[in-house]
Amino acid sequence: MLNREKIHHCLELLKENYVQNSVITRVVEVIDYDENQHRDLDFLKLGIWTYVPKEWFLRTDVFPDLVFIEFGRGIAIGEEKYLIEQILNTKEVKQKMLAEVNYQNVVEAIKEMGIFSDLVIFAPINHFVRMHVDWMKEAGAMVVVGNELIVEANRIPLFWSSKYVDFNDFIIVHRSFGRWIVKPSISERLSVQIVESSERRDKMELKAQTVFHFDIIDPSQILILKPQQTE
Amino acid sequence: MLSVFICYGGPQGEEIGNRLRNFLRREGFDAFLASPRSPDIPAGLDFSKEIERKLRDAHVMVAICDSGILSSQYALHEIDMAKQLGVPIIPFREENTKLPSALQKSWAPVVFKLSSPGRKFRRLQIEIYRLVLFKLEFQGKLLGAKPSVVGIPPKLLRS
Repeated sequence: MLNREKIHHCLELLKENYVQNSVITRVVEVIDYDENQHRDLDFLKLGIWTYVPKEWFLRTDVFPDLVFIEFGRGIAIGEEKYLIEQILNTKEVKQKMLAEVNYQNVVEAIKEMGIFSDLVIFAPINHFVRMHVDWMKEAGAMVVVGNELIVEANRIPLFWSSKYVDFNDFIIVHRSFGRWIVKPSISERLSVQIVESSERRDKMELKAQTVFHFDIIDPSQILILKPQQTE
Repeated sequence: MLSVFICYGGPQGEEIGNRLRNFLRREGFDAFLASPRSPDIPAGLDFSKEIERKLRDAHVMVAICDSGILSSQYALHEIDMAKQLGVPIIPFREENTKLPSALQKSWAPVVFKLSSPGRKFRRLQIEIYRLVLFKLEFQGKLLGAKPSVVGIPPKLLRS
């Protein structure tokens, strides 16, 4: 007999880890779906739709927790990748070459964006050590602290590339650059269902998805810095 | 190229880690041993920052779990950091060693005998492929009309 409690626990883990790892709400304006305003927009479904073995919920010696944690993280990674791809594929976005990846050059570029509040920066992981060590020497103080870049007493959220979300340029955005509309609402933007598969008797069908519409409404609020040097 | 971060505690773990690093490099992996004597860290580079960068940029961490890891603050810190960063971990466990509590609910470990850890390197290599494929396959994607039929190896999940 299927262990309903175990199923519920796994689905909660998936949701929890999606929320913990999703960067969307920290990077862009996220808006609840409003039927009156948004009904004519196209919405996409992003997530994981797959089979999992039914025996996971029948046997007591199987602990699928980690798989569901990774499912949740995986959806957040997919979302971030989609966002980065959309930014990098937008032709109207201003691009600038960085002759040298130093603090002064990056700060000057950030200042071109105008106000510091609500800015976010994505940085390639290749520059991690340089930004921590060389920039500290250059500025005379720590300017990368945790996941924040400090510019004139302002703390700008900083997101690093990784093997799973890979990019080579610095991307600076003001949160107003786009809108990410979610159905039905921000707090319920991930729906998760698991049912016994009608096609495969030994499987459960898991569908975890977020339904959203994203568009870049103001490309001038994005700046891409392309390092000339490689590490 | 797949990036593997190798974490260990103690001199015995370092020796196994070094052999594993060399094996994986021969097999075409970008394997990194998190050691102060690591040949993978250029002289003059900030060691702790380079470790962190390597970990953030790794596809997977292999934690060498022999008796030395339980008392190594560095190794336990790296394991914590990998968990926070979402870097998946495969324990490479010596048969008589208990897993650190941070790895209790982890992917099924690859178990080795202290007398011949190298015999399990190939098995570990396969597990690395499987785990990374899992991680890449199960990223959120725009959904089509049917569920994905990619299988999840249940063997990974047994306690």
